[in-house]
Amino acid sequence: MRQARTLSVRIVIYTFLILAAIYTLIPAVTMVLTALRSPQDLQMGPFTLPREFTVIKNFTQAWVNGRFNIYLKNSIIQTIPSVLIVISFATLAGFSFAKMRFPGRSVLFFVLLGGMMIPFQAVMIPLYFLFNRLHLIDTHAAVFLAIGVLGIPFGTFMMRSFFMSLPNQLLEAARLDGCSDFGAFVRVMLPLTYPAWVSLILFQSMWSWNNFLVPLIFIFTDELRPLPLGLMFYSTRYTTNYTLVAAGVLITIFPLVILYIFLQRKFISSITMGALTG
Amino acid sequence: MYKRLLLVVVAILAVSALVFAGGQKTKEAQVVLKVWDQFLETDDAQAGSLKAIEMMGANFMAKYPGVKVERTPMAVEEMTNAFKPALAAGKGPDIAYSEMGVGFVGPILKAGYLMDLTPHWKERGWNDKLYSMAKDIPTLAGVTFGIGHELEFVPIYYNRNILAKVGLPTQPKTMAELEAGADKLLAAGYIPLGWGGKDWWYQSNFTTSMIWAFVDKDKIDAAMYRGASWKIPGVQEAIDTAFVKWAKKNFYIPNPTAIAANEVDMMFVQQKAATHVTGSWDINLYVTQVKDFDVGAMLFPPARSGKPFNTVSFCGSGYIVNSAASNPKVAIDYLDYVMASEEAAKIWIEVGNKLPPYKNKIPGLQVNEYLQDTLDVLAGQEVTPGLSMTCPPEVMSFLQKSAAMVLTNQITPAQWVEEFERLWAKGRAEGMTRDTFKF
Amino acid sequence: MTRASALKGRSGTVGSPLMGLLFVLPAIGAFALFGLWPIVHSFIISLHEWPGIGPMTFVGLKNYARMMRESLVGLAFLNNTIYSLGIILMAVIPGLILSILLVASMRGRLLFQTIFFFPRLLTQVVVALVWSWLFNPVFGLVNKLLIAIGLERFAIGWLGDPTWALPAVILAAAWTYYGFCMVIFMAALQNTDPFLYDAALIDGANGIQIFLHVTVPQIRHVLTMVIVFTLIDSFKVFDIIYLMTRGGPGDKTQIMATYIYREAFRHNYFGYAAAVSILLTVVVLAISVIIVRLRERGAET
Repeated sequence: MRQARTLSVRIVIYTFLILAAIYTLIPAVTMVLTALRSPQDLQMGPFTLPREFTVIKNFTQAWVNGRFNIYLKNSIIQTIPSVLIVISFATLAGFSFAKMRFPGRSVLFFVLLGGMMIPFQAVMIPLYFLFNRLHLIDTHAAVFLAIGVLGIPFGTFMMRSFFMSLPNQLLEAARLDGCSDFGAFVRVMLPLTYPAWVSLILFQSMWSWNNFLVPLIFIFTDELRPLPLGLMFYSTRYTTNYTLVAAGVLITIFPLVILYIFLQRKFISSITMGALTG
Repeated sequence: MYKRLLLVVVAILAVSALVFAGGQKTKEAQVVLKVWDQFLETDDAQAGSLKAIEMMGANFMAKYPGVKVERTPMAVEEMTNAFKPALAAGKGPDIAYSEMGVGFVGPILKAGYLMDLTPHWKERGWNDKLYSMAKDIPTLAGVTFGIGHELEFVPIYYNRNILAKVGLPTQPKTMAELEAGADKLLAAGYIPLGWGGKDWWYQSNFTTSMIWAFVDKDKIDAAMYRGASWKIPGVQEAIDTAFVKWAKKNFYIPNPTAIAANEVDMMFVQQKAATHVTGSWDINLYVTQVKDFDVGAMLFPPARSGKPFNTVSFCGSGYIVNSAASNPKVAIDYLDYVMASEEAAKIWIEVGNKLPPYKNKIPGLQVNEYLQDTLDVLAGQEVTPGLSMTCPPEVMSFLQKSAAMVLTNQITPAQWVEEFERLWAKGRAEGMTRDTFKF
Repeated sequence: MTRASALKGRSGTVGSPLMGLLFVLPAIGAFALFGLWPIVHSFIISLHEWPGIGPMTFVGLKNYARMMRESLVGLAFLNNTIYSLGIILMAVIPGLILSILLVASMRGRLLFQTIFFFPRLLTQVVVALVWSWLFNPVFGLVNKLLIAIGLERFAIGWLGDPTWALPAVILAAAWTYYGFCMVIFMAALQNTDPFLYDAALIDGANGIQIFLHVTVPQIRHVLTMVIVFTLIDSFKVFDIIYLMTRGGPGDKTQIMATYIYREAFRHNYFGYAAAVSILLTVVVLAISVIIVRLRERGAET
């Protein structure tokens, strides 16, 4: 599409974009400002201009009394294994769907496709029952197993698309050189998966980190709460001290936002790759 | 070589799964008593009860060396969700301070996870030392499985200064008087009734209080305990008054269905609302946040003159014991101390601002003014345990959202009564009420 | 595998069928255990009553009969539909418009993209918190703005209003979504053919005509994908509704997922909740099948 040339058209475009950007940012800016103020200063309401700032105090209180240090630790403990599960299982399966033949390949692929559509609500009660039996309720494992395994279909899909985009000549060349099939996979294909892995890691991490419903169903004690759950219960306790809640909010979103700022393009492309390949 | 790498990765996964899946507790030499309760540290309003329970824990451990009391505090909603799977997995606490409604406790009791405390009530003398309500509430089909705890009352707390300024009596004798007073407060620029209808407990408590004020006690008892119909005079009127009439008169905080607890607190503390329609659990809020005015308590007046006051109370939470408790005697000892000793009762009242069911007079008791007010106002009044103790879970859900439904014209008061009756009947058919429950 | 067999005609594939199966086994196995079996098990549970503890009692199709009778199920379903239409209106369309504007702009593209996409990163707990504050009738910015510009009569109790609670929640959800849609559309737009625009301009077409007759047809495929993806996702919604209104006022914002949650975890009807979740799954799968069919037809044209 041609870029607009006339000045008036450009003014209209940029005005609109700037207004939309302001609209997008206002909620975030408010949250940041609220986290910086003191509760007394906030008496006038969260959307007035601040005068008194007590940043350090707010954050240390949220971190220690609010136990956000524990929630952060739990989020990490629950995210990393789920990402590992997806990466390892999905890479193997994705490669197989892309570059290998085996009986039932199309059937299984269809199953996988269906798997991506399954809402968590469909499996949450039986999983609750299953984890109950396995005595995994209220453990980190319940969360990262559920989130990890439910992320496998999509991850497989993504890896399959990726492997399909890799030229077959590479494989054939490797085999001609005397590689075993497995060796061809490991020595030729795997090293190339780095960009796809980055995308998948970002995608799965974000989904796991932000997940609220899975830990809500499986985690009950405060000790094991990840950030979203911890934040929710924290906000219902600190009913009148919004500054602390805002500090908690910032702690919650901080890791992903930092990643986002440094990896903008990659982040955006990996999250949207989902919808396009789907 | 790469195969080994793959194996290592899988091994890491397996190990981390095992490490994080298993419990983190190591064996300890002494007896550990695991208690789950609701006394949280980060909530200002609970600060008093947290201090109280910690003091009691320290005293208990001093009396019983070799016993360690390990408390896990959690909020009501969490407890409700956590308890069942924990018990089923064998990871339940020895003692839990939880809600004791039929809907929640019924299935757990039926499945055999709770200890029958009836013999202990007799042996430890609790029958004599504690109010009968603390026993009646946690009793189903003849089995007493708990000790009811905090007697919570739902009066109307008010701003003394404002009422004095507007020249209103501090205890209206009838609903008509209350309404007249509210009209005056509205005219003087205040919000007459500090109430918001977004949070579920504000809806259920207020609805219950209004019903209690409009309906005779014996009719309520018949409907709650013996399966009589709820289509009795007063119920519809109560709903109509609260959520149609008074809403039209703008007695509540504007846009009540969007007003949550914090806004209600805010309005009262900032002296924009003249009253605070909440329960005695909010006393700690006044102690910590109310600085420039005095708070008093008044009862919901009866609908007609000549009818006695009838206040709803809750003994909704209490201690229950795991039938698989690792050390039953220690568990009962703990309960005996915390619930039935004079020392502990004193701490509950003076430090925790909560009323334990301890009957006997305690010499030298120093009660904070708000609690004292509440007690004075309640002295000698008719008190009925509230609906949440006796109603089936679907009725509870209905109570928690129906105020908003009437306020937003989704149902009429007549329809409210129909639905209420229907859900009660359904709950009874499923054995989810006090009188229909059976093993 | 010998060199000879490797050179045989199976171009583009590698490895024996056995190896292929082994590679998919972990993924399929794990997914079967935690994804597929639970669905079957869900159906089994739906034929029982289970209060969350203790034994299950077989009740046959009683839960399904109840599901047919309960008006709340239909209501929740309707709300999910309204939600999805609302998201399409408030996020997909604006996303499309923004993508066109952004592609047409010269400077600051990355900056705008970063800003618009940013809300997508946030967990729904944060989104619900912030927007609940914005909609708060006492101190919220929305009402303050409305009053400031003289539209005082619109300054209602949003999250407590039977008509406007759902739109308000949809607006909050849309805030996290339009940036996402925008980025997808931008990628699609960049694959369009510039010559067609030139041709249209030469023919004297104005902006709207170009949009409708040149742009949209070329991104038709992606547009359909996004709309269907949105539809499916909308039926799975839980977090934002649960956190902002809990399904209230009354049941006005009750959706399938919050209904299922409540019936299981509040009312102890795990069997019934399982039945409703089966219904939800069937609906979602049905929509998915429709996509697959559409794609196949689309691929043929």
